[in-house]
Amino acid sequence: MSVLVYIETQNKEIKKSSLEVASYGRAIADAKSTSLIAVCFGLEDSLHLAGYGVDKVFVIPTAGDIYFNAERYSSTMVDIAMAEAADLLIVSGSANGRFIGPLTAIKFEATYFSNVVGLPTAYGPVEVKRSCFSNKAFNHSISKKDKVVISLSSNSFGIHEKVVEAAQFEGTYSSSTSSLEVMTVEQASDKVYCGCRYCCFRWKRFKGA
Amino acid sequence: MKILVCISNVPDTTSKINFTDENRTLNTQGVTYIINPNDEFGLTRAIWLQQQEGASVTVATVGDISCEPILRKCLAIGADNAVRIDAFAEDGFYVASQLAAYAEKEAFDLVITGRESIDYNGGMVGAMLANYLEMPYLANCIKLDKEGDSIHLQREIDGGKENLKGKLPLVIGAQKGLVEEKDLIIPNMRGIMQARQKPLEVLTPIEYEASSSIKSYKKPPAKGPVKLVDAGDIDQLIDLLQNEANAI
Repeated sequence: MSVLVYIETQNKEIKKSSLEVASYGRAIADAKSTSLIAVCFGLEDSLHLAGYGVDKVFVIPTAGDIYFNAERYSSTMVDIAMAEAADLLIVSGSANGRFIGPLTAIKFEATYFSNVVGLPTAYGPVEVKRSCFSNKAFNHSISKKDKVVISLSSNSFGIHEKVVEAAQFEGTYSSSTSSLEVMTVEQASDKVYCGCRYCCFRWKRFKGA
Repeated sequence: MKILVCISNVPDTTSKINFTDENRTLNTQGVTYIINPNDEFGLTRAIWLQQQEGASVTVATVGDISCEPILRKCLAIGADNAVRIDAFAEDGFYVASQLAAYAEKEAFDLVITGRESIDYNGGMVGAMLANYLEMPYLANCIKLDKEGDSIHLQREIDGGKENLKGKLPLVIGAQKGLVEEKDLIIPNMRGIMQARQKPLEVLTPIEYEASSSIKSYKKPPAKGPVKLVDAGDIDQLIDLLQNEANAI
């Protein structure tokens, strides 16, 4: 039974949180003596992931679908997980990761653990440590199902490089019947002006903006 | 338009969290319970839709009789009726299945859950409920505007916002932004009096097995002293940030 990780991208580049997820997935795959599979959407150079212990990379062409689509991404991941006989899926703790995690879990008929802060303490059944009560406490949760989806809390494991031989495959993008459609995405600007005549005027003049 | 708002009964954010029964159960002694803040943002938005569109608002929770004061508060805020599914909320899967069994019969147009509860921080009920009800789901929803048949939505993403368009029926995970804290409705005396007359139905749970269980709780260790790094010792700083703080 292999381990599958969801690699999140932004502007066709792998996000830092996904490198942490890949490192975490590698550690679990090593503990279970199995292979690590990564699924990424619309990424051109995925072999970079071989530096983080990924054995197999499934690249999904998302032509025409330029924005994140939780419905289609989760269905695609479940299809690959079933074809590759994966029993443990890992997503990051980012906004998209936490969106796709429970959707994937229910389609995969798996237990879902969010806010996981470390490697599983047991694998049969899977037992994890997760934060709860808004970081005021932790709990040790045990899965009652064989299949598990984990959402890894950001910066809880770290990025660990491990170079392996990786093979790249092209996966099939699942269809969706969802009526929701992303129209635009507004990225927050790093230039924050309050609009006042004191600091902003001087700062803009200084920067030549 | 029929709206269902799923409510979670959670310890107040200012409550001290302690555990009993060899760290297996939350010590409820002295803990004040409130409406989960994310659910309250959703409830307020639902009340606005009730005022603008004449929608009917139902609130539902999975829990024992101790959850009823929270449901009465929701009724005092303006919900039309309340439903309590009489079961111990074992995990998100279990809660979603119980709520889905009720919602399926009622054919709601809009189902609002909080992004996550502030006690177990699972963040899964909305997505699972949507899957059971075969409705589209939007997490981290910070804007919902109805314009004729279409719904304009906004989702908070890492470093920005996503603008979406859709149609009802729909399930959303509400959070701050859908309404602001200043918009939250404080029940007035008239609302409190009316809430006593509004229906609160208690339902028997369906047979369903939870997908996980909690073995034990633990409080985080006390924070250690501040580590001071010499200004010239960049290697030690990088080592600490990488291996101890896991920040880089």
